[in-house]
Amino acid sequence: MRGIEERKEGFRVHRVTNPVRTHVNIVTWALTLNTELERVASDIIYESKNQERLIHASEWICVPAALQLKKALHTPYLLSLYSTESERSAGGPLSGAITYLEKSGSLQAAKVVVNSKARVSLVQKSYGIPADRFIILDVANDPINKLIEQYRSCLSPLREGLGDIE
Amino acid sequence: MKIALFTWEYPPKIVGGIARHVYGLTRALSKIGVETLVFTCEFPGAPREEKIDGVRVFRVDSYRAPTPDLATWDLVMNQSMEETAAEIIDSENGTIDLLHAHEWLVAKASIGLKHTLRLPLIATVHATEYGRRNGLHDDNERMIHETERWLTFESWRVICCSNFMTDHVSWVFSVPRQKIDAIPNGVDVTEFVGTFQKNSFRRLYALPEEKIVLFVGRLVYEKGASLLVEAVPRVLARTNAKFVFVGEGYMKEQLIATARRLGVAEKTYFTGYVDEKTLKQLYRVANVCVFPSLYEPFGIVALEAMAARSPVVVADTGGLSEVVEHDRTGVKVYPNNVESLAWGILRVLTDDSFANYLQANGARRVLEEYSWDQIAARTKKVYERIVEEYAKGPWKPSST
Repeated sequence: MRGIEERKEGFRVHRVTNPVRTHVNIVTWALTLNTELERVASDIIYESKNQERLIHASEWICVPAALQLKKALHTPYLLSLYSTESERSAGGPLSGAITYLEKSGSLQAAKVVVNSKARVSLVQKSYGIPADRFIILDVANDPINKLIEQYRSCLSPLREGLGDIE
Repeated sequence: MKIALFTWEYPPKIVGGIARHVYGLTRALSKIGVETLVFTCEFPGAPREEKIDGVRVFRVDSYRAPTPDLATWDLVMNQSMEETAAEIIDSENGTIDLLHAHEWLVAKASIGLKHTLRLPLIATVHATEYGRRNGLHDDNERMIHETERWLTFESWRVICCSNFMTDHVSWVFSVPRQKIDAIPNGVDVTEFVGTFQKNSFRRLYALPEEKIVLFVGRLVYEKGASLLVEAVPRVLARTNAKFVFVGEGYMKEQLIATARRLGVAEKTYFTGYVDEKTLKQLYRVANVCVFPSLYEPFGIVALEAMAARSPVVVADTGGLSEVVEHDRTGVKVYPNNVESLAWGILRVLTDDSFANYLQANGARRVLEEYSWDQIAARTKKVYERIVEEYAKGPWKPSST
């Protein structure tokens, strides 16, 4: 049900295949792939029953699934932004759609994870995200423990009626 | 029973036939106790939320970002539709029984909701990209085709509007025949009654001595309007008539040029699009309605003409072939055959008693088999079957 699964040391990887193989651009590719991500992630969430859960999405390309899982299954998410569309692009025909997903994803994330203070200021200015919503991960300063600490603060409270029936 | 229904067009947004179909279906479902929540695109002047004839309509934000083409716009719109529907369905506290998608344009939203909410999904396939384009010729068409295939794959059952479409969908997407239900489109016959000044209205389109031959449809290759233009001199050789073409399309200029070349320009009238009221009145003053399509999944226009008590002449193809019974509710002619088409038209125009016989039979057939009440009752049975199968299975939000 979940796609190809690889078990690594301490974590599992589920690889999904885009249900639509032919595409006209990266946005159409990303949006249909995200629906398959939703399918696999939903199955994992339903199977996790009473466990607390949290999603960590990387970049705009995973925003659609993260947003939908938040709205449909009340699962909060963190969004990592390594760069923004305004930095990557000079404004091509797809920039509007990508910027929309990036902004919408940032505004609704429990936390926005970035790698520098400069990016905090850029995202804050571009998308109006409150300052206390950012996590700056400094690679030189124990980033993993800091991230785990943030994960704990964002975990979803258990919700009655979802995944709690044996 | 409560259904969440997804469609990119719903009145007042009318692009093609889906809006009318979903409107007629949902109103009739409401009358037999099926509550429907319709999720559709926003439209200028239409409220974001409203209840019409028992149907709850939610119009979602559909233009959140500029996009370069229809496919990209559609998928971004689907993201918006999916988010909005998730929140509204959630607020219904688990009372939604089923999701119903109409066409590939809402595939992403409905499939995403199926999996995140673990609700069964049913799809109505009104037409296919392969059929519309007579094959697949570029990446855009292939992408739409694969999206349609994805929707039929993910659907518990698929509804098609005719046996022709059932065959086609089964072949083109490899969908098992057992998974498809053929339920025709419906027509609201009450929309074709009422009085109006027939003579003065008729004079807007034809001289009193001219019979009216009416074509309604997009002026594109597959609708066969060019065959009708070619048939005009053959018909005029035996009777006096005006050929009225309602609709727009990329072939319009070519059709007008052909009429000029044949010397019958003054006997043809290309009206462009007309409003609903005018169209219904045109059906009612026409002496014959002609639908010479080369590809026609269903042929709702033929049913509308029959409901308006106009005799019909149709090409013996696709859904039209199933809608019309030859020599009883209309005349069937060979597809892509000008001579046969002219023969069919003349058969009706030169024999008033035969035309009256077809009128009466056609109108009765529509009432008996194609009313929205009949269509809704058949659709409800399919819903009930799915809900029952779903209830017995393990795939639910509360279990794995």
